[in-house]
Amino acid sequence: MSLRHLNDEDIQAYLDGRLAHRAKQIERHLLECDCCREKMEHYRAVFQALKQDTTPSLAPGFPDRVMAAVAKEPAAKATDSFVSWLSLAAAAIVIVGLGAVQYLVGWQWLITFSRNILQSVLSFKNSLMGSTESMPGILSDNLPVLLACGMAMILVVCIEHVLKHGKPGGTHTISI
Amino acid sequence: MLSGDTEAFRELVESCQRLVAHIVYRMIPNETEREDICQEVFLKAYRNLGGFKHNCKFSTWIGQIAYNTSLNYLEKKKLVLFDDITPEEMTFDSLPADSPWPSEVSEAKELSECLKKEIAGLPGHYATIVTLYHLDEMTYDEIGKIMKLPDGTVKSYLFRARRMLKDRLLEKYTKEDLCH
Repeated sequence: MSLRHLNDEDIQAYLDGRLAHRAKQIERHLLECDCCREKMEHYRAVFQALKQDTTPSLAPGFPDRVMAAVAKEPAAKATDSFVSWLSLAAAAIVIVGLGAVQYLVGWQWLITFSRNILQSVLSFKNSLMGSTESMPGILSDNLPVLLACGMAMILVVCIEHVLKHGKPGGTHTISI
Repeated sequence: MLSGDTEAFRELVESCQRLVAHIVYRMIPNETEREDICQEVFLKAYRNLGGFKHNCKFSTWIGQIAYNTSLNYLEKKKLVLFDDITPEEMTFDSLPADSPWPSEVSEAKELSECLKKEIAGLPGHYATIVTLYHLDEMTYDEIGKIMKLPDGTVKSYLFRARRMLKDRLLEKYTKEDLCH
């Protein structure tokens, strides 16, 4: 006897090709052991039968049926594509805008402008915390700050969207 | 493709319909509703194409949709998947009785016909795993992703399912028939 008897787990693993390192040892044992050889043959028959597809096929026109149903679907993806294009357009406007600023007035102006914006934000915060002024008054006094914050938020959302969804309308290769 | 190219989607339907049918047909006992469920699977995939992450194969992703759709159907119909029944607790009497069986199994085709009936009598999880492994040649990992099971559980279910099939066939036929 070159090996203890094979159990079900050994036989299944062998037929799955997962016992390549013990294959010769197992095959030698099978030559000597009727009991294990018989068990192996039973499993081999089952494995071979399992490779034959006995599942009923879908009707031949199944893809047509699916595509007819798809055609009735609302244009959800068109909206998605539109949003993506919008994101890309917004990002392009910001980039062109920054380029124009640099070309026309230089980066120093942009830095000063940013500093002013920051100071305005701080003052806006202080006015919100301590002022008894009415809300419309506060808003109108700080309109540039609010606009800058709004634009920054839109920019962040657009960039996030582009990063998440990839190039708008782009073709993705799907690995099946 | 994700931008709404319906012709490209048709190609995906054609290439994945076999896999979807394998899962749905193994999970759903009601023959008349299987094809509708397969269609629902593809519609769900179409609606959610934007949510497909390229970190797995499309077949794995659509397999997950097929499996979840089947589970939802079973839940809605209050059908049991034999989840908590271990093979040891399952007696052959509890499985659908099949009749009349050929007295001799001399052809591989006949054996596969017999096996088809035996697979139909397996718990849905087992039948699905056996099919995905042997027919769709999926790995433990891919099957695990579709069915949300750890690799070890997939391996264990596959082992039990094949042992059950072997034992059930031996109950029906003589050893000589099986080993012809």
